[in-house]
Amino acid sequence: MSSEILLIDDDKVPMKYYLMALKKAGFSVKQCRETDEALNYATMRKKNISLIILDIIMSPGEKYNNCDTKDGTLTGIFLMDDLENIPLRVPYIILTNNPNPFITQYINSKKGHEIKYFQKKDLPPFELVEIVKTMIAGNY
Amino acid sequence: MTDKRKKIKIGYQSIIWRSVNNNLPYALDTIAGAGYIGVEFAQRPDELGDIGQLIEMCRQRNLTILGFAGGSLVDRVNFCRDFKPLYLYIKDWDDQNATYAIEKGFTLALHPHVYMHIHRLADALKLLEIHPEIKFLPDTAHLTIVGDDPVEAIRMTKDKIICVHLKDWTSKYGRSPFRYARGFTELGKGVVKLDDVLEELEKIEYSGWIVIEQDKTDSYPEKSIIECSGWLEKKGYNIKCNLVKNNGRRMNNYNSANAIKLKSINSTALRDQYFGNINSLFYQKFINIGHFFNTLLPCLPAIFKPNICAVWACSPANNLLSLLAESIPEIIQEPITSTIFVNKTFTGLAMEKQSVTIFYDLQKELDGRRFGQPDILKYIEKPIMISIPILNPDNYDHVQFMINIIGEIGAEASHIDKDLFASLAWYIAAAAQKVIEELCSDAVSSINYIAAHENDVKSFLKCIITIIQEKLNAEGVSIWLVNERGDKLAVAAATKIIWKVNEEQQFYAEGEGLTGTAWKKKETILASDRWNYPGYIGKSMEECATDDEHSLIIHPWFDIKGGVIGIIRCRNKNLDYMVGKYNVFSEIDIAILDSICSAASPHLILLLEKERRLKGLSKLTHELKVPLVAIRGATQMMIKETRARSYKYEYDYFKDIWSWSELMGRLLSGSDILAAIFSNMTLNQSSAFIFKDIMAPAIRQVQLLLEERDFSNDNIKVNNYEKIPRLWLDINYFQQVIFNLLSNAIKFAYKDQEIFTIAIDCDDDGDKYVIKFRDWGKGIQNDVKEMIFMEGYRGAGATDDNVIGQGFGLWIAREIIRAHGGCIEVTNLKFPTEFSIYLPYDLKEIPKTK
Repeated sequence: MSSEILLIDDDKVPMKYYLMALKKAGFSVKQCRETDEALNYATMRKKNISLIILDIIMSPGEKYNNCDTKDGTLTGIFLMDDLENIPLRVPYIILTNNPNPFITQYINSKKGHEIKYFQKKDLPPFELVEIVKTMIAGNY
Repeated sequence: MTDKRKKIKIGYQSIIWRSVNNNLPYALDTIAGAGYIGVEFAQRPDELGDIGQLIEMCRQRNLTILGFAGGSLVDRVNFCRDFKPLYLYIKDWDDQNATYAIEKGFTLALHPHVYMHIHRLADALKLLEIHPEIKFLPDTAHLTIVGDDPVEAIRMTKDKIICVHLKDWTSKYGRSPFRYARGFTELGKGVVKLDDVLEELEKIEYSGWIVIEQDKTDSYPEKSIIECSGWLEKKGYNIKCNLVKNNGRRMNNYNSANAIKLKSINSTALRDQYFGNINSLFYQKFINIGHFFNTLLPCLPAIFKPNICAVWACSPANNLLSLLAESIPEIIQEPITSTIFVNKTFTGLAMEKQSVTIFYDLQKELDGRRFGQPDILKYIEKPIMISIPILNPDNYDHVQFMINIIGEIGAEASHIDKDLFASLAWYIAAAAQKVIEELCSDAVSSINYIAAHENDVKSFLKCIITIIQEKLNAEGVSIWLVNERGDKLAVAAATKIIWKVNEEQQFYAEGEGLTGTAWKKKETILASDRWNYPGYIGKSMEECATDDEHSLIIHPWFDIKGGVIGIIRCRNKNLDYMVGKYNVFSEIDIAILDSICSAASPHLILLLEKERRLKGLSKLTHELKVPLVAIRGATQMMIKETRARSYKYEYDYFKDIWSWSELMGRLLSGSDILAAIFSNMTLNQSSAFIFKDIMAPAIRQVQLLLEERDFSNDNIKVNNYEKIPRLWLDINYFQQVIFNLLSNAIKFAYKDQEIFTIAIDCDDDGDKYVIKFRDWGKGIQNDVKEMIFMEGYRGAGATDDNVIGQGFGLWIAREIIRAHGGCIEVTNLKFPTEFSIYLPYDLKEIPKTK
């Protein structure tokens, strides 16, 4: 498989196991740890990206500094809107540590979009791989 | 107890007896008997008789006359003649009168007073600098009420202090002009830092006078005076009380003195006419003060014709009087002006005199004042006006209302009995006071009621807004809270706010605009015309149906310690034609609003504290999840590699690590769910199999709890799960329900492995799905089968058996099931203990949000 997965998460150590598992499964993975970097990369590589794995709690960066990210706990939501407007209409997996009712409401508002939402503690690396495979194949 | 304290002299002020009249010797006997050696007189000179006799009475009782506080400064100067007391009390500055007094050789002592022009320490310091000849008379309670520190006041003015008014105050009645004086209380019963004040006096080696000024008491004067003596004696002051408490004896107070006057009216018919109709007002309920006065006015005697009556609400720190009620004959077409200036009108003059005043010539100017409504005079030949101040029975400094009666001079005019109207004024004052107290009390009851039912800040504040709208008839209301850093006021709840700035600027800094000014100064702003009010910047306003009305209250919300936790704004008072035609906010509205704030404050602080703790818990949970995710990731990688290399360890360490991490994840979920419940849980529903997605993971998660007790998960049976189809459930939350039930069953099981059994049976009841959860543990007592679902409840068994837990498990389970539209109950107490979960059929259907 040569699909590229864009992983946007500012955590380094916990995410390396997810990176290792995805690479073992044959995916090409790029991790961006900052929102500005992620937007730039996504814009450049939009034709190659098949799926995005996105954390919600991140530092707002320059782009979202003046937005109401609630001290960074909702940065991913603002980022996701901008990614979709690139346009980058691919499946999204929201993978976060903290459940937040805003996330559920946001996902529910995105009818017709392929978005799945998991807590990291409930989705160890190889289970994520299975879900990625299914979503890229369009079977989820 | 130091010698320094023994040097300080203690006096007492006579205000507690109101009008002393024939009781002056008794009052002085009581003061001297209680151990005081000085007296400051609060009564007006005309109530004190002759200065020579007064001096003699005090000399006989070894009482030093410290000062005079009542009546005008000029009257007191003239009363004293050649006698020079230690000081004459002033609470304001008038160049002419002060110069007169100083030139006569009197020492003036400045006493900053709540709701007067000089009410803050900063104002007093300015005046003391401009007029170094005057002395300082700090009052510990008045300084506390306005937010100043009496200790700091003493420290900054130590060379100027001529006497200290030592007074205590409780904040339970709030700070409004109408009710703050109810809070004055005996020494040691309030919030004033009296011990700190006394320590500071020692530090500065003060050896002057302290005067106990007990404005009012909830008991009676003798008891109060003895209590204060006793308190001072315990603190090491040179005072010894020789009075004996006598519960049965009371002095005549002011009201009793008035009763004597009423009895002297010979005509029963006249007395009945004047007071009889008013009596009935004591038994009625009024929805606001305008309603009361509109009911009262027709009861007042018709002295002459035509008879125009008007009632004005006074604002102590404001230059305006606001019309509350009127009674006008139809012949008069002009409406009465709804606001008049105190310093320009006859009404204001009578208000300042605080006594019934008859104005015989309404066409001419008097002392720089004029009649405020000259256009109605054309209807009345030779009109006169009687202005009756209605004082606050709890606070003689406060004129609450002014009643004006305007009519034609006739033969009756020469018989107008001012004393009779003064008595009438007290009667009306008592009735009005009852109405105001009831309005405040009703508001407080409403707050206490909602506080018992609202569990989060947002919904509590919304309910408060509803109550404010109802009680004040306010159209637009907003509540602003000070942020955690204490540098911004942000809107927390509102009817609707219109902002004139962009989102980043939607807050107020301290001192910014009227809202920030009220915060900074800790003072209520009552504006009948906000656009012309100094400091108005127009950053935001509450949306109202019309923009014609300008009436506005901006009120600081205090906590119990006197700090400002927020601001409440009310805009536009709605007209209520049934009870009155006037829609300007008045001090009565402030009194009600203040009562609401005082009652709501402790509840709000508790809710805010709960929110802060939950936020802290969420942050901690989030931090704990990061290493957990890393551990699970690394473990899974190790499992894969180990299998790939076919290596076998002697023991399945990975299984243990995995199980512990699952348990830890579930426990952390419990913490998340707790926070979610308090902030209105939102379900993340997906289509789930009851066994595969809910039961099986939960059983895995309790694996280690089973192992701890040598139980086997073979003893956990799930039956007939195929009877329940895929349901749209929040998988994480529902796993928590089963986990909580399982972990309870394990914790409260008998230690015998043979007995340990958990059976979970699923069924389709025809109109709902049923999950019966049974265990053969220690069971539940019948009297607690409802209580076990309460937040934080832990049964006696939990403590006896040293079972760990916080008492949230079943409460969380019930909240989650309720959020899904179902319910849970105990359907058998023991052998087995049975919990039944009922889930609605419509969980089969995809939710509307999806």
